[in-house]
Amino acid sequence: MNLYAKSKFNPTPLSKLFVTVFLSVCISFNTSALFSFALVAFISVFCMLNSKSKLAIKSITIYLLLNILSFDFILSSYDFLKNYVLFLVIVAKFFYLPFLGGIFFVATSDVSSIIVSLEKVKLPKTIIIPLSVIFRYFPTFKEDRKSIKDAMKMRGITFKNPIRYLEYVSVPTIISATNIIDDISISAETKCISDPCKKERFFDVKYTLIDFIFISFVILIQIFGILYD
Amino acid sequence: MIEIKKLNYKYNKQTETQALVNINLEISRKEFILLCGRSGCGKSSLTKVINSLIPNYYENGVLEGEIYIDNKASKSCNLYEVSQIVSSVFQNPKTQFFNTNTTNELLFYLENRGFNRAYMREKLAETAKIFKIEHLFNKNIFDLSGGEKQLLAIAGAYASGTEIIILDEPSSNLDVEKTILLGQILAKLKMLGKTIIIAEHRFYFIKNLIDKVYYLKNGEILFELSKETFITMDDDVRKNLGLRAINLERLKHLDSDFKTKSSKQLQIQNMYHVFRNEKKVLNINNLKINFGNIVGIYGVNGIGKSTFIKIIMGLNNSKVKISINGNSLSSKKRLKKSYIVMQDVNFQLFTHSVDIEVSLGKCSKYNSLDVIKVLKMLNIYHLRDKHPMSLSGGQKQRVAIASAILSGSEIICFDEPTSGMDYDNMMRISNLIKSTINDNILIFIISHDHEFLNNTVDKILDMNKFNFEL
Repeated sequence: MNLYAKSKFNPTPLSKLFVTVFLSVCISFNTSALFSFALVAFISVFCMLNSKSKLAIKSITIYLLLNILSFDFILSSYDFLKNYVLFLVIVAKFFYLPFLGGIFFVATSDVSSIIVSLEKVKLPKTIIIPLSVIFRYFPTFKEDRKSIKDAMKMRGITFKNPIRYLEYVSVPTIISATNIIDDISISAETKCISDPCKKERFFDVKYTLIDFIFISFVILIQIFGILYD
Repeated sequence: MIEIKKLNYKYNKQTETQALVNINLEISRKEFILLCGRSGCGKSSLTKVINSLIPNYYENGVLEGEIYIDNKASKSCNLYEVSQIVSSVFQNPKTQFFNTNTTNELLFYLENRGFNRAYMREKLAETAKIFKIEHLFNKNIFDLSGGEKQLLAIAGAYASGTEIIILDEPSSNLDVEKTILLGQILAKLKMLGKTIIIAEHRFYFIKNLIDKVYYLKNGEILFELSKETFITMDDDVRKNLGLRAINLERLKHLDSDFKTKSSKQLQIQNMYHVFRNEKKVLNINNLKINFGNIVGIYGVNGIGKSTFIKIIMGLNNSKVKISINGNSLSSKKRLKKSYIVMQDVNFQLFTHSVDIEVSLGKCSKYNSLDVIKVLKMLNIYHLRDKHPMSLSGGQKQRVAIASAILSGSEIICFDEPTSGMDYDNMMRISNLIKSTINDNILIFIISHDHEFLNNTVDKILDMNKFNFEL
């Protein structure tokens, strides 16, 4: 994860969070394929504007691939394996948009900007602190994950036996998660995060035109998508 | 400044073991205090009492006695109230930051206290001037090296402006060079009039700064020493107390030769690895090492020690030709023949009992009798039904070593096996490694620990020799 890029095109974390939640709510409605694609493209453009071109290209390619696969497989027969793959493809497609929104949120925000933007809308501390601790956990875990992966390779634990794999991978993952979260919470607490006084953050986060554009376009495309299905 | 009276503490209501027993302590303003003793002696717990993580964060414990910090009874204070007087620096540079931006992290405390921007700007400039860390501002914390992170943590403690700074083993992840630098920074803090309390195993970087030393054993303060008595302590007395060397030992075995008793030989040819983001390469043209050697891998942080090991083990796909007795081995084959005991063993324990853990991926040439033999040799046989995660750090390490031996590995690597260890445990692991070695096994040890290396290895490879600028 990078620093909160102070680019003109980076919406505030709260807008991104809102869009993610909005998109998750909307998966229960049918959206026309063209408009769904427009949404994926729209968010990808935002990724690109925030120098995440790799992510943008990946997200569009994967989405196209999922579409082609699901289209191709619908025509196919009663083959179990094909149906199984089709099932996975459709599930992936179903959750694609909120997932993409979430990834965009995580990839282009940093902890302090999240705290600032949530404090601005006067969310209570009991929500902000745990949320930011969780958010801070991911980049740290990214480093641990490499070591866990190496250790598993060394023991010959591979994904060939998925159930075993998941059983084994969960132990070090959970232990590392508890350790990391404990340490991060302690570091925040010893830096007076719970002090009830009024706070002024060094780097401010401002709501600008880009937030308005980002949110309103997503809402518009989504609503038209539902209407024109 | 700090006064502790008749303090008793245990981490859990149910347990019998006291973490701290009858602690009476008085620390005055501007003193530099060293807390030392064996692992688990209670020095870390004592730092947690002073910064009030006990009882505020560890809520299940039982705390008796009185603690006054700046004449305030800290037992009735919130954690944030105590943190207004006491700053803390922890052991693990990876997780002691809350923000991902360095500048944010430096100012995080001031923000939380409600200071205004003008004041923060002033403090930032002052901190930059004192610690010369302007080049670290506005960076991603994950791009910093371990040493830089620790420097930032201490600068943050200074920027917060508290009178008392507590450090819990701040050097345990640093190389010698960075540790000495850490000492220089602490000297600055001392000069600026801070009260400093440090719990440590390594002493060479602070020996000239200390005013008083407290030696703890089983949760009790056994005695108090002055600086003079501490640094002139007899070597045998020091070892009996389980303390590490007070002066930095000179590294031996740098120029010694490999043992050549075994006819089995590992050959490394044309190793070439380019470091991303840095203009450096790791390049080894031809290196022959006989099995039966214990080889220390030495060099500053970031020089490529782990990379070297990972390439040999086949965990890294850089260009290389590695052969044993002339038979060249693919990375897959090498991975089957090698094993690493990681610095954080928690990453490599997967199952729910020691028995199953050590048999996971066991080599077919060993039977269950061999398993028992190895477990007994490593003194973990009585723990065979326990969950590996419920064991102590040293025991976990031995479980990992047992797995290494039983997987039939010929190349066994250790990554910083002694970080944060007292003298007894260090010697124990040193003897263990020496008893594991035979003519069929080759052992690599990545370590910054001079005392440990001098006691353990046959030859040290200085990674500086293989590192070139592009």
